[in-house]
Amino acid sequence: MIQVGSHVLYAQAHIPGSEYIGPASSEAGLQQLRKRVESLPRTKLIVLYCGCCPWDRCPNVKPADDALHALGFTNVKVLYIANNFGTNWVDKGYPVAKGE
Amino acid sequence: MAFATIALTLGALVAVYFVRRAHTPIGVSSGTTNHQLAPDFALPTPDGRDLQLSSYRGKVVLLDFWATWCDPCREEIPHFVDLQQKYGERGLQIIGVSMDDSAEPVRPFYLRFHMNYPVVMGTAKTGELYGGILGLPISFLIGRDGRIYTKHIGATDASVFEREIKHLIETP
Repeated sequence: MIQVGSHVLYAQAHIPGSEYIGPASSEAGLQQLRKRVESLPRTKLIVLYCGCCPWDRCPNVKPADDALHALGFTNVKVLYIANNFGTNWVDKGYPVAKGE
Repeated sequence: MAFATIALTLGALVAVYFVRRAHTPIGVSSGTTNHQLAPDFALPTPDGRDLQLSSYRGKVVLLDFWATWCDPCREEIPHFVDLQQKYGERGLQIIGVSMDDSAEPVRPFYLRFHMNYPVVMGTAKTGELYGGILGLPISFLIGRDGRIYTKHIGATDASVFEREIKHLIETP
């Protein structure tokens, strides 16, 4: 599971076990993502999420999803977060981890 | 006589309506009803100067958590520029807290959007002070007494901010 949004948001709260890569809205973030997954089998289940903004305004998840598909990954899922991570995950009492 | 009674009753009802409306707390639906003191912080601006929130006590502060990559934030900022221009001399101070991972994109953004209010670089700790900034934009309206009166999660219409600002400006 990979968080593809902001590090400042990730450090406050993230899904336990998820990795931070860098915002996929930037080329640097996409490069980090490609580097992270390059050695993985293309059938590996990868779950992406962000939660920075409302789903239809998120600048990160689509570039990340597109990048993984372009690399040949066939089992990519994106966690749907309707409004933001705080409202749709943390406030609902789902598991949360903090820090780097 | 019956007409006079009806008129008096209606008049009384109208008076009650307007009195209640004048005392209806604003922003309750998105507000903090306990009006806690806004947590103080000292954060750097993109050019390295420090800004202390408490130095703005006595002003109405609109504290906006945003980021350069956040589309809804980018839509709000021109309205904030307008509000700062319009109400700055009456005691409004807008402060932007950038939640970008570095100041690098913030400096050109500041110039491109003609921002006329200070911006500081927020951290995870800043976010935690304010109850967790786990989505953007999130903004707080702080009264002259340093207390938080409303919190808005997500992009908010400028007219809502203006109404709340005017109310707080007029409140000692």
